[in-house]
Amino acid sequence: MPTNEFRSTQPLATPVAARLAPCVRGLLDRPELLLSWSDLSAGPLHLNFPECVAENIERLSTPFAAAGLTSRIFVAHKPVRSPALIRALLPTSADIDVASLGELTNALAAGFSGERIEATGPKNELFLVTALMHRTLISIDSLAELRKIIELLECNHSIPRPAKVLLRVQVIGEETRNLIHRPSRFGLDSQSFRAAVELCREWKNLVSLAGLHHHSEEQFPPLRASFVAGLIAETMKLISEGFAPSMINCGGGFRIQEAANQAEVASFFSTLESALSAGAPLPTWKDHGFGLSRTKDGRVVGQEVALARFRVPSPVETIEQILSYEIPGHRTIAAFALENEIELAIEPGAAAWSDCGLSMLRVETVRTGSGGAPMVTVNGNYTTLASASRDPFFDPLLISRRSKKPSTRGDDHWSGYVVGNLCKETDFISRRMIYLAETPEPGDLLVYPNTAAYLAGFEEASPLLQPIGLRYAAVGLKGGAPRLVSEDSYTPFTRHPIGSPPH
Amino acid sequence: MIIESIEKLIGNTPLLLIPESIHGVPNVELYAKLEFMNPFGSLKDRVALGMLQPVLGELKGSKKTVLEASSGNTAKALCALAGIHGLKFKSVTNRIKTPEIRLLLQAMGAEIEELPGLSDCPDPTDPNDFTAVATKLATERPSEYHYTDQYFNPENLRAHATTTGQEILRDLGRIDHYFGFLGTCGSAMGIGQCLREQCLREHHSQTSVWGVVAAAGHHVPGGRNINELWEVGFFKESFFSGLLEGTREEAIDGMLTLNRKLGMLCGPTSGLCYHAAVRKLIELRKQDPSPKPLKAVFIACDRIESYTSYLKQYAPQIFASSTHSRPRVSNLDREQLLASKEITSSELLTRLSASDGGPKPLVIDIRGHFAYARGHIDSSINILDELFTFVIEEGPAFPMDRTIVVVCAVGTISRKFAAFLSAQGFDACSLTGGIGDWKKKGHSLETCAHGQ
Repeated sequence: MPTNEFRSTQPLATPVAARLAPCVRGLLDRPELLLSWSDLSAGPLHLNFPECVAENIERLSTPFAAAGLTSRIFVAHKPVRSPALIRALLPTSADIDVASLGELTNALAAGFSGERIEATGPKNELFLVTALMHRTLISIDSLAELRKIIELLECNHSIPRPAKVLLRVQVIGEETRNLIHRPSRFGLDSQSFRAAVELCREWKNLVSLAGLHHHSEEQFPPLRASFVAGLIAETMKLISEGFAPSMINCGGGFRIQEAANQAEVASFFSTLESALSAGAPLPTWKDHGFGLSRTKDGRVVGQEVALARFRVPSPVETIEQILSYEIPGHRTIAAFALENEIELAIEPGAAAWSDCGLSMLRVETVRTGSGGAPMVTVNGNYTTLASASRDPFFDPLLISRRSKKPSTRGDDHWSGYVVGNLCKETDFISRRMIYLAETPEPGDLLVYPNTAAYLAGFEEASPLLQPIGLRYAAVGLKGGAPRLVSEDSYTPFTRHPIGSPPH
Repeated sequence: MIIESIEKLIGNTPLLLIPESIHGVPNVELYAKLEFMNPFGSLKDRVALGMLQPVLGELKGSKKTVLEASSGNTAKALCALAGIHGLKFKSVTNRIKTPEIRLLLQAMGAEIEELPGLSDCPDPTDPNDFTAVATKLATERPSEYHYTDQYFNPENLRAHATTTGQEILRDLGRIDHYFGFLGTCGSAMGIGQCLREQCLREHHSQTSVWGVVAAAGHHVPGGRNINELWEVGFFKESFFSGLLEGTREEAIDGMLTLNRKLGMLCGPTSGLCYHAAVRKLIELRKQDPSPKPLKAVFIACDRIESYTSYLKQYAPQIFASSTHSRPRVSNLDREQLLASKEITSSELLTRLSASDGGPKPLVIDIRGHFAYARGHIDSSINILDELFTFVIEEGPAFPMDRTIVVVCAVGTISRKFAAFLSAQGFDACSLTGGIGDWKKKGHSLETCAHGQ
């Protein structure tokens, strides 16, 4: 049953609906509100939802609590910029992971004390000194960094000691398998690790080896769990050598499902692959293959980027798999941690900030590009939403200014590309041809949900002096009375007059 | 029967006629080709032989390693054949998810390289695709490797067309329907092509060739799912009369039917193929209930042994314990749990240091060995909780006149054991707050050297 679908010149777009959290749905039911808010900005408008943070933290803590464990959740500052979101963490049980002096300053200014802060990544001397003065936990990224810390402490007695450090290891050996690991520029290789342990032993008065840290992009949970088991094996060795490590940091990299329906993402890739195989135009900007390509003799080779997001369990399920993993010859990871009073730590980024924001772009022009592909230009550009390696892999929602309604899926649809306001051929919001329920018109809004982490303004700049996106915190979402407040003055703390009855 | 090389046993596999009482489709002769009877356990034995035989003369004595991007049946067969001919074998593959498969390959002497999975920070210049890595290795070091390239090697198709397909024709003559699971698609297309051509030529009949594949999101090891088909070199949708999708549950269901009712010790791809075949044949029979008998064949690709952990994960109910009547620590009722007695750290310390000459309480520490070695209550014995469960469930394990105190890290798990022992008639209690509380109260702990 041969199909001729690919003989036409236009590629087929397939819809990928975004997953919508309940509070976002509530906002989408108020399209006139979103339209009037968007008019506050000449450029894009990024909303963040500090009131949605606590439930993410609660959810991530649940598997640890269920196992009777103390956990440390170091929420990565890196994916977000909003001070409102950072402050929203204060009343929760979460701590914060900072990867620069700027992030450390932000965290301290927001109200995090040093004990709630972990400093990670490569650190310059000022970052190190500030982290040491505030007694934060420091994850050692290199042998040179550890030496620098020891030298600083040796020469400056006003710096509090001992410094609490985690050793970040690159690769955990699995004796029975030859696992090739993606090379990483962060952390200690096995030789440096041994040298670092020796330095900690020699300078016990200055540096306290608090534990081990491994961050992995590995998505196959049993392997992730085996890395943690590897850390445990190393921890046991350290304990028998006389150290007293009390933490194992399992890193981050927990994936969130962005699309409402996994099958739609799979369907997009099927369409992409069959078009590639047939040599037909792809439903992507400039025939971008998302990791796939076609060889001269017509084979499709490569591996799709982004699809794998949907082959992995949720963050909670991944954590549960890690906790219940049986260390060969020993206990489950959870049982071992409990019995040996080891704190298990995670560093969620996207998983912690999931559903905590959205971005709105206004349609400026609607046109056809060369080759017939429909395009809309918006009042933002590639720096607004995309980062170098990821673009929002779901369709935005269209809010029509004329009808003041969000459009719903029916039989009609529009597919095309959303491109930016720069005079630059590679300025697109997403490489994927998107699917809208109706044809957009100038003035309409494109709402991109779930952009708080790594998307909304993550790399935002103002090339060509185009207006940068404005950011506001939106509160009152759950109570049905949403309003905008300045993200700089938002706090999660409320108060009642003294003597008034408690609510 | 005497043979000089096990290679001689590759191919010429029997066809098993599945009785209508099992498959339930009226007027259909359904045959399973027992490819798992090949010497290395799967139909890939033919492909491996087909790919290696033409180059064996050149490879022998060359010290080249046979290389393939596979961790499954193809790797197993190539590894065996390589070994017979004094060659080494290397597999380059994505993370091997099934431990049995990896362990088996290692036992057979294969060198394995497992590539990393996808990253959240994808690098467009990073060729993670395992066939790309294998190709790269073979291109960069041609004097060291011979890459058999099963996904694109025409010998894959040819082996099936000239052997498997011919055998079916020889045994059955006209075939109306052929069902093949799609992996590299070599077997389905090689066999399908051969059957179609011959049946048209000799019997003037059209053979329908059905491709069986796992549904999106379902993983049936040994083959691909519907979204992965386009990544495979041979696949051409137009070749097939249709694609039949099935779920993991259907694969397991079919597999268990074949194993348990027919003695076919085959794996999940065989199970799904059977399930899909029966479903399709029922549909076809409904559309055309004529008494003309249909002849259908499916391939039982490989053996069950590689899939026990797959079954454990996706059909755990198979392995659930059937001895429900025995009292179990995990089955304590609420009343028994509530009746569990406790003893505080101070009380225990007092009883342990009593000098009245009476028997001291027996203290059982159910934590792991490492934690016990780091610090335990003096005179306590270490028995891991799982082992302790086994010990006490099998029968009374202690003298009835001793008090048993069960100790764990924080005093939660120990309560279950104390309750079970009390129900058995012992004077048993759990240490309130466990070792954590004991330490907090400042009582001393003994240490010992840890074995590891």
